[in-house]
This record gives sequence, C-alpha cells and structure tokens, in this order.
Amino acid sequence: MRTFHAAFVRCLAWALPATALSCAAVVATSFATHSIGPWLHAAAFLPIAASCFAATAFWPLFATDGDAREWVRRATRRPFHGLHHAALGSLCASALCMLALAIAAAPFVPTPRAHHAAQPIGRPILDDAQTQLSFEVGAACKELRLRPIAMLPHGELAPARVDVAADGTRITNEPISFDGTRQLVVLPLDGRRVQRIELRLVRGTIPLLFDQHAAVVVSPDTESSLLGCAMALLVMLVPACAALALAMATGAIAALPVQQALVLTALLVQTAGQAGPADAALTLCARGHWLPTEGLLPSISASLLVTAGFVLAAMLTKKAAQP
Amino acid sequence: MSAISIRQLSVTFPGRFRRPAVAALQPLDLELEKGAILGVLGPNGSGKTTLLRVLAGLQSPTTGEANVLSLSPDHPSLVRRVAWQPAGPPPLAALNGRQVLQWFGGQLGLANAEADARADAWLERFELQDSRKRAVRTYSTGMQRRLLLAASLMGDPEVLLLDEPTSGLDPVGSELVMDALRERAQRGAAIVMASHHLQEVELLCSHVLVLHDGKAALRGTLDELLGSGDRSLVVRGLDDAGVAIAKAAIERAGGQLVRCESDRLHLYALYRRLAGRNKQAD
Repeated sequence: MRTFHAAFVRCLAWALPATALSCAAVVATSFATHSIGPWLHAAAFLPIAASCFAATAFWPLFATDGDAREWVRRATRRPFHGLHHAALGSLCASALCMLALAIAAAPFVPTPRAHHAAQPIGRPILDDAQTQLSFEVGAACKELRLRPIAMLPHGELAPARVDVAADGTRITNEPISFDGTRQLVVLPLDGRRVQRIELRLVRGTIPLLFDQHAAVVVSPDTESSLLGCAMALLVMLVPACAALALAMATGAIAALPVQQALVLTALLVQTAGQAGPADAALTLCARGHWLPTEGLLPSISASLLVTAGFVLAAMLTKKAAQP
Repeated sequence: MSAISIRQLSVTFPGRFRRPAVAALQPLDLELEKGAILGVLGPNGSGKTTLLRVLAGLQSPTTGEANVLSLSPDHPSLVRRVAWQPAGPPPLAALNGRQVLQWFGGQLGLANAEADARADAWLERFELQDSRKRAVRTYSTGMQRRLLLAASLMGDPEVLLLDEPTSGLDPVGSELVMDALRERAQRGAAIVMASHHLQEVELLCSHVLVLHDGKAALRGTLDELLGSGDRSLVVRGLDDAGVAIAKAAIERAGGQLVRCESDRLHLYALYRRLAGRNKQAD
C-alpha cells in the first residue's frame, strides 16, 4: 500500500457517490429539458470537490491539525512528504469519475463539430460607409453563425438588414435582420466547400461590428460525442490541480476547515468564476463545439503555470519547516 | 558504542510578540547503551516530549548536540533504524489497521510481501488480528496505541523513542507492549520511553531520567536510585502462631517485621486471571 494507492482509494470512495448523484442529475434533467443545459457544470463540480476534500482530509500534511502529522512527515520523503502522491491519487480518482460522467452525459450533448472563426477582409464593420464585408473561409461548411456587435444607430432606429452570399450565391431568400447586439443568426449551408462569405448591408441604421468570433463556420464532419465530452470534463482537472497545489502550499499554516474552505474557493473561482479553462470547456461542449479546435491551450497553460507556482511555494514552505 | 549520546543539549522555543521564550530543555548530558531501556519521567511540561522530538530529528537543539547511532538525529537513514511513536492517535485513520502497517512498511522501503508478512505478525502479536480490517478511526484508544507501536516496530529499529507507549492501555495490553519492548531490548535495541506510569517504568526500565522544568532532576539505573543495600523477605501462608515464630526469628537475625497483613490477590492478578478465562472461552 503506497501513499498514491491509499489516497486514490480514499478519494474514489468519496467521489463515487457524488459521481452517481451527478450522473443521475444529468440524465434526469437532460431527459426533462431535452438539452444538457447548465447541469454539466454542476455535475462535474461535485465529484471534483468531493475528491479534493477527501484528499485534504485523508493526508495529515494537508493541514496543521492532521493526526500524527509529524510521524507522517518523518516517515515520508522530502520535499513534499507524500503530498504530491496524495494529490495525484485525488486527481486520478477525479479523472475516473469524470470519465464515468462523460459516458452518462455523452448521449445528451450535441454532436461535436469543429467551429472556425471566419476572418474578415478589411474593416470588420458594416455601416453606411462600408456596405459590403467579406470573410475568408476556405473550408467545408454545414452552418454559418453570425453574432455581430450592434453599435449605436445613425439617425432613426432601423434594424440592419443584411444579404448573405457564399462564393457569390445567396444563401438566404430574404435579407436577415439584426436589431440587438450579439444576436445569433444560424444559416444552414449544404456542407460544400466555401472560399468566401460576403455580407451586404441592404438597409438599416445600426452599424454592425464583426469581431473575432462574430462569424463562425461549422464543419460538416462530426466527431465523437463521448470523446468530446470526456475532453471537456477532463479539463475540470485543471482547477483541481491548482486547488490541491494551493492546499499543498498552505498545509503548513492552516487547519483542515480553513484548507477545505480554500480548496472550495479555489475551485469555485476557477469554474463558476470563469478564471480558467473549465467553464469555457464545458460550455463549448454543451454547445456542440469540438474542443481541440477551440484554442483552450493558452488558458490551460496559464492555469498550470499558477499550479506550478503553488507547487514551488509548497516546496519552499516544507523546506523552511524542516528542523 | 552508545546508541544515544547527548552533550549539553538545550532547546529554547523563541517568544513571539509578547510571549516570552520558553526553555523546554536546559543543558543536558546523557549516554544510553544498546539494550538499555530509559524511562523518562516528569510532570507535564518538563521536556520529555521535546527530548524525544530532538532524538527523532524533528526538533533542532538550540545548543549542544545529540547523536543517535553516531549520526545526527535528522539523518535520512535513521528513519528506519530509529522508531518514533508519538502520543495521540495514529495517522490515516480512514484506512484499516493492516493497511496502515502496510503503508508504513512501504515508507520504510520494505517489499510488499515483506511488509504484509510483518504487518500480519505484529497485528497478531498485539492481538489486533480480529480488527485488522476495521477502519483505524473505529479503534479504541488502547488499540490505536498498540497499532502505533506495531508500526514503530515494523522496521526492526535499533532505537525506539516512545511517548507514553502504554497510555490508555488495559493491563493486558500494557503487558503485551512491555513484553515486546523487553524483547526488543534483549535483542540489542536502545529504548527511550516517556511515561507517567511509575509502576511500568519500574517494571520495565533499566535506567531512569527524571526531568523537572527541562532540567535533569535525577538520573541513573534503577538499582542506583532505588536500592538501599538491604534485603527484604516476603513470606506467605503463615497462621498467627507461625507469624509469632517468624517475627522472633527475624528479630534475632537483626531484622524488623514491617507489616503483617491477610493474604489476598492483587487486583492486577485478578484482572489477568479473568482476561485469560475470557480468552479461553472465546
């Protein structure tokens, strides 16, 4: 029995009931509402929090009031005295729970497809001064999604009416109308390869700004729902890493209730507080995006960098605590 | 070669804010040979635990030096050679007793099979085999103490540092522990045990150190400290006439009859007899 194994079993014992509850909630609410909705976030949070709590309660060096803390510190090796094994055990238990949750949630998420932001050619604005705007695409398209920012109208308010064409062929019978900011318009395409999308402002007084993700084309190729869901849920391990690393760093100065409050706060800030990749990954998964094309890597890297900082702090505090 | 050697060792905990510094141990010298059992006595706060923590490498001395098996107490190789049993509950109380011992064996570098075998042997020795699959948090205080001692003995240590090893144990459990410690000492281990149980220290220890306010108030072997040089005689089974004859004989030999009382069993012996009967019934 090694520290990793013991922590893994212990964390799994805590996280499994939470996972069962989460799976049941996801399945029940998805059947009732016919969409995965926001429940995926809550369902993923519960097992992760349970596993992190179990790790901090199990390994005595996570808190100043752990039983026989010094005995464990003496028996285990520097610099982390088993904290890293306990954290790793918790993360592996969480990963297993996330995979179980992915299996339960996969039938209810939209089939994932790659989404590409179309790049505007020239000024990304449609207004009186520039009534035509083109986007470079160069890919097969199943859908075109437009979500521009509506700016202040020139003169009397009249919704902007826009004609949309793909490689010179109109794809709408009537001009589409925009009267609010970030109003989503989804235009189906037949899955053929499109080189260029052209927008033409027909009438209206509302200038439309097409920023980075205002025009998105959706690929006709479908990906695995299970894989997409699993990837999104495994991104939830990133906040868990940071929360456990923070607990490692503060283990020498805080008692268990404080540590658990810290872990909970760190998880909430990174998920509900959107300070990290987890919220975006789950939201994108629930909207049918294929994560590898979504550019989440910088956000994941930033969170892992923070984690590395906490681990370094843990190493220094443990070294300072040596007799 | 001394198993433990202490020269002018002192420990002072620095004051913080308005709290004054505390001198937990004042310059202390000590030598302990292999095979000796040292009982450290003293009131609460006299420095017993601090002394054990220094020897376990968990507390740096403020002045002086301590050597255990000719090495600095915090030398990594001593983790296996020197066992330390703290007061208080065992760690990882969510695991069962066997798992705690297996885990500790793993930390000592024992192979899995060896750790399993030793865990089972010590569980049986300390009569914990029936509870080996129960979570340690459900153990009674005495069972937890026995488990901690079993863990301490897993690595066949050459030095044992024990903080209240028999605290919370019933007489039978206490005797199990004392037997195990006696056996370790006979095999050459040096043992330092802090205790408040004077009778057990008297039964088990070869040496005694009495600490008071961090100073060594008294130290030496039990014979040196308690022996008067005279011999005593215990006689059992006499009636009144026999007592009178014995008293006269004793006085003729220059001795003195101190006390004459009706013969009865000690409570301890009664308890042991009862415990033995219950065990047989089980």
